[in-house]
Amino acid sequence: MFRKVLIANRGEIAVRVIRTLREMGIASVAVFSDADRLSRHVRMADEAEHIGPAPSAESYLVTEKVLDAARKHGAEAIHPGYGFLSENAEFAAACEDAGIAFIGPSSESIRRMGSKTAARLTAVAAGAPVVPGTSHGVNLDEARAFGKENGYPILLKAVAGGGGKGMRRVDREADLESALRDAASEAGRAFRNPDIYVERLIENGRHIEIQVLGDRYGNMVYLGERECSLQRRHQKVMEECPSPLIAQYPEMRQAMGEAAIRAARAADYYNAGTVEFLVDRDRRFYFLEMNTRLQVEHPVTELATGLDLVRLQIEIANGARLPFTQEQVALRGWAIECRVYAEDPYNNFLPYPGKLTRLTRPLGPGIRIDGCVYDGWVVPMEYDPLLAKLAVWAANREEATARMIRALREYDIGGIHTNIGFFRQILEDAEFRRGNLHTGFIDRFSSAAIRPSRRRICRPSQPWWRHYIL
Amino acid sequence: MSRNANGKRAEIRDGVERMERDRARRDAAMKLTLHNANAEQAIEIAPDPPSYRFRLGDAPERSADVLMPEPGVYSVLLDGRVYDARVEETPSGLVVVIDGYRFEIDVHDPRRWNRRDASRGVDGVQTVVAPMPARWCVFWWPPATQWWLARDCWWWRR
Repeated sequence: MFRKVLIANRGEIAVRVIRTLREMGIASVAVFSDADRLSRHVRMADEAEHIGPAPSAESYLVTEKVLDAARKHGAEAIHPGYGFLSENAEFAAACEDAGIAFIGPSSESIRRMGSKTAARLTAVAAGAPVVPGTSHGVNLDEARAFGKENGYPILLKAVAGGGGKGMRRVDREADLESALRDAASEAGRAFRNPDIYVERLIENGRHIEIQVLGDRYGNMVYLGERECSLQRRHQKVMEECPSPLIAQYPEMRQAMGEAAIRAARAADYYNAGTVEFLVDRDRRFYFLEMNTRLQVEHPVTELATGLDLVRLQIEIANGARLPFTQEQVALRGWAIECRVYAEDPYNNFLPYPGKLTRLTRPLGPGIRIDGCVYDGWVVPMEYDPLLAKLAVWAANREEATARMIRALREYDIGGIHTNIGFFRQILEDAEFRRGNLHTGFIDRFSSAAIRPSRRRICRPSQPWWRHYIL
Repeated sequence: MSRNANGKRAEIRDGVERMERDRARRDAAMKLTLHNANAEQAIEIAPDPPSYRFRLGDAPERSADVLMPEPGVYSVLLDGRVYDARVEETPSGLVVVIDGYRFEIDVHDPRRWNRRDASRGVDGVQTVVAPMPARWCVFWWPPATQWWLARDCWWWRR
């Protein structure tokens, strides 16, 4: 087994990986930028190396700096986490060339599935249904032609994308040029690849994904699904395992699971990965993309299956076989996760960096927090303002929802705005309780949601203008 | 009025620069004696922003990056290794907890000597107050540099 592993990431995912490494008796090496010297992942690691200034393009995204840190500290493997270099085939190849194990799939699999357009071609070859779209990056004329042929709305997506970055909805041709320019610019900054491809937009579909796990010997299983339909700005904010839809129609699980495995096998995939599907109102599912890494929302799968995915990733990277078969995989109970962000959900989800002046975490049965914050920590403005992932487990969806509400009531973060109150409003919504979820849910919900404090202050007896002053 | 204000500002700026120069000259090494589990070791510490240089006994000089993320908690980066040291003052001395291990430490500052202390011995925690003009700096230095002072005080107090 590896003796030392470097985590090429920051924040909560780095902390998550360090925890498993510690349980496995493996030393951990953190890397950090100027903005992260006092981050939890640096303080928790056994060793740490400074890799540059705060902008990720000059630190966390620089392959050579990360590899130099690994060599300097004698790390035998690198865990990329999610984001940053995790889906960068060149980085995985550089690790392979440097004789450092990359805890993830091979660089070739990332190349085939990491590029969204290449993944679509692979999925088509494997017989998985795909949403109508282009199979390559497009220019403005090609995007216009696609819009004319398939009709609006359409979706612009980054070829090297993920996490909703470089993604734009376009409702009419007049908006296409600026949307394409913005999406390409954002994709270039986030992934160093500004290429954009186009898909037909399936409105109010459900985003359901399948977790797959394979070893280097051809064994592969799917570990159930995750419902990720609740998204804001194309970024998931709340996830569930299992999906309320699939709990209602369990035959879909096997069909989607087998389609996911076919797509992954077509790319000679091993280690953990996620195949994302869009499900329309008629319960037809379409391959969206494959994330060749650990997902942010992996804790809900871990809670429902009882597995430690990071441990399995490390063991597989070290050459181990899958320790179980598909028949031995069972989902038990219900898990829900909320991504707690430093943002103002009542002000277009504006990020809200700042200093935490107060922190009380929820405790008790069935609660899990994957976080990186502490009292007094300053949320840096340079990175994604994810504070923690609050996950709960219970016997069924109703109990899990009640437990999450209880946990959110206990969760107290002072000094900055967070989306904790917004989650409580969602969890108490009748449509959410019925499991009627879709990718437009948050947009519809947030337009109707009222800041809780303001709702309490405003009284019907007051004149209308008082509501605005208060 | 404006000229007076400008003159005042220039005077303050000169004062701050002078104090910073004085402080740079004052950043001489401190020699302390550590007692831990019946072992005694001399330590020499010198601030060298953003790090601290120190020498334990006759060992070669090393450099550590020390920051305080939370009150009473010090994040130390030393030779690539990271330590979170939680420091607590107890009546019997300083207690430092690192990775769940507890170290009871006495710090002796030989400069803090006076006739009364000499007559009753100098065991236990010694309070070393930062000499002037450090207190001045709290008022005159911009806030960004005040935390430096706070950090220094931790070492001075030991």
